[in-house]
Amino acid sequence: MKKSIAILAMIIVLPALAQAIDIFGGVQGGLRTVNDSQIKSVYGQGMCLFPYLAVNPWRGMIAGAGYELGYSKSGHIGIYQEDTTLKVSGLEVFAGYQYPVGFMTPYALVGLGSFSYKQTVASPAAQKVDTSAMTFFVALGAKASPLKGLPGLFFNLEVKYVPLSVKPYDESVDLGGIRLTLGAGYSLSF
Amino acid sequence: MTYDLTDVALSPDNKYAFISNFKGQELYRVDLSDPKNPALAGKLSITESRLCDIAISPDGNYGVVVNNNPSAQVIFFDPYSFSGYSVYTLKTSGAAVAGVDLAANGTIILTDLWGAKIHFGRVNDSLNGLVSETSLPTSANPVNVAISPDGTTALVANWYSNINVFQITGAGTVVPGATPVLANAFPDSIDFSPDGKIVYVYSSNYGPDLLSWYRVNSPGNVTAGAVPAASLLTCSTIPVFGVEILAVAPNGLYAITHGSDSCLKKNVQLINLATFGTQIIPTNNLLPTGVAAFWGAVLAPESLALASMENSYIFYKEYINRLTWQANTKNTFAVTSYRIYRKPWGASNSAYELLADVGPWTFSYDDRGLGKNDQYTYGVASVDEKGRESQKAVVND
Repeated sequence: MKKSIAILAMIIVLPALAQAIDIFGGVQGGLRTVNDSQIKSVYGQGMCLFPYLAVNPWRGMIAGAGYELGYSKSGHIGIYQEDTTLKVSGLEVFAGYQYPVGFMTPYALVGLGSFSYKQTVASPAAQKVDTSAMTFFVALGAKASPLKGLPGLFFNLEVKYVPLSVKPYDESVDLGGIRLTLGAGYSLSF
Repeated sequence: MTYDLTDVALSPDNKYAFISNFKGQELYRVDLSDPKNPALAGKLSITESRLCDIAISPDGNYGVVVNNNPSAQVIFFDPYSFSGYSVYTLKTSGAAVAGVDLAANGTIILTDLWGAKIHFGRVNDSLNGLVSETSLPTSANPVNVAISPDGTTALVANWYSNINVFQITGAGTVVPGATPVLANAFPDSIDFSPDGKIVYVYSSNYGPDLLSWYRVNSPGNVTAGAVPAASLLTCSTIPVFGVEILAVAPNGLYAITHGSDSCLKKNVQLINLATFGTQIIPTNNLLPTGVAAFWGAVLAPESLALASMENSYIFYKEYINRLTWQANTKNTFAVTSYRIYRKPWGASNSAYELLADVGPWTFSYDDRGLGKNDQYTYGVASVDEKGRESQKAVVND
């Protein structure tokens, strides 16, 4: 994970030393689906929030990092319908490419995330589930800057798919899913 | 077959009575689950004759019957499988064992009628012999022995003589008590009150038989009460070596005595232990000898079943064994709880651990948090309002 972040940081920083760059950041929020049918049944779909910071160092290339949070759900689980919670969050780094088309700027991203997940169950038979796993992800989106008086402000719509299969014990669980988010951000040129 | 039935003893749960046949070389088991219709539930043919005193361990895991031949032999049996027996030979050759009693801690005391001794030790783990067998002298020829409910005091009745008191200080360890207590002549049979604070002694007196009582002050320390407490018969009976001819009811209010010999013939005698008044009760037996106070059976639950289940917590599974059972409608007294026990597959019964004690209207129990490959044997026992626990209904996963 550290190695991957370091490589991405070099991708971002090195071109920036050579020419002017755009730095932009924002927050996206929206729906987060879960693939696993049991997770869906017990905890349901959720919301996510994704603050991030990125750079546009050279041409359409973009790279950045963000933190996904917001999936924290409660439910009742198992034969005895015991109280349970599940929290999933992830530190992500990404790189991609954006290309202006008219007033829109579509973009595509690939990234690497380290997702932490923690389950609690109010049961004498509960075992500790508090660990993390790494995965790649892909995202497609588009952003636009509708306000001419404030050209740095942009809004975006993004669809991200995160496959995340984990196996802390004997059972494989797919914590992955789709994030459908709307966001707002601000871009600064240097 | 010659029938000369002598002693009777009950399993702790009162489900079975065990009856010795003095001349017939047989030991019988009678099922008392339906007290109005007792049914023969097995017999053991035993090579030794003159079977007399029977004792069942307080936990019901083993029984002992003795014969007063001078063979030094003691017969062990399993009250519940009742499928065979083991013969243990005492180190003292020629011992004629008349009486036997067992304590909850595994102590066994045997009276050596002609050797004027008691032999004692701890019953071994195989439940078929003695460990650390030792002897102590008695004042005269001991015909019978009784151990207090708490297993700390033993009284020995010496024929034509008196009583010896002993203290049980540990498993298989017995020391003489404070002083021998003088009894009426010819003490024959002894029984304790349910709380162990009073001990009653039946003396066949070659005159009117007598019941006397003694106060148990502390382990091995017994002092006389008012003597005699009751004149039981207008004539006397002949002592029956080693046979329990006196039984105190589990409520402690009454005692019953035998009707052997010429006095009572088909009758037995009920004694009010508050007033020491007596009442003759007819029976259909020619000469009832041994007596035991039947309290009513406490029976294990019925239809015990086990279902193995998986409880998914998504990331892992919990393995559960779900036990279900039904109330046994033949219980004499109300069931107040069920006790659930567990032991590893194939382990001895001493490996049972108590998992739970659940209420009388609970008919299932989940043993949770098991490993995938754990294998257990479960036992569920009824506990009745008298505090007695039944044998276990057993099921394997």
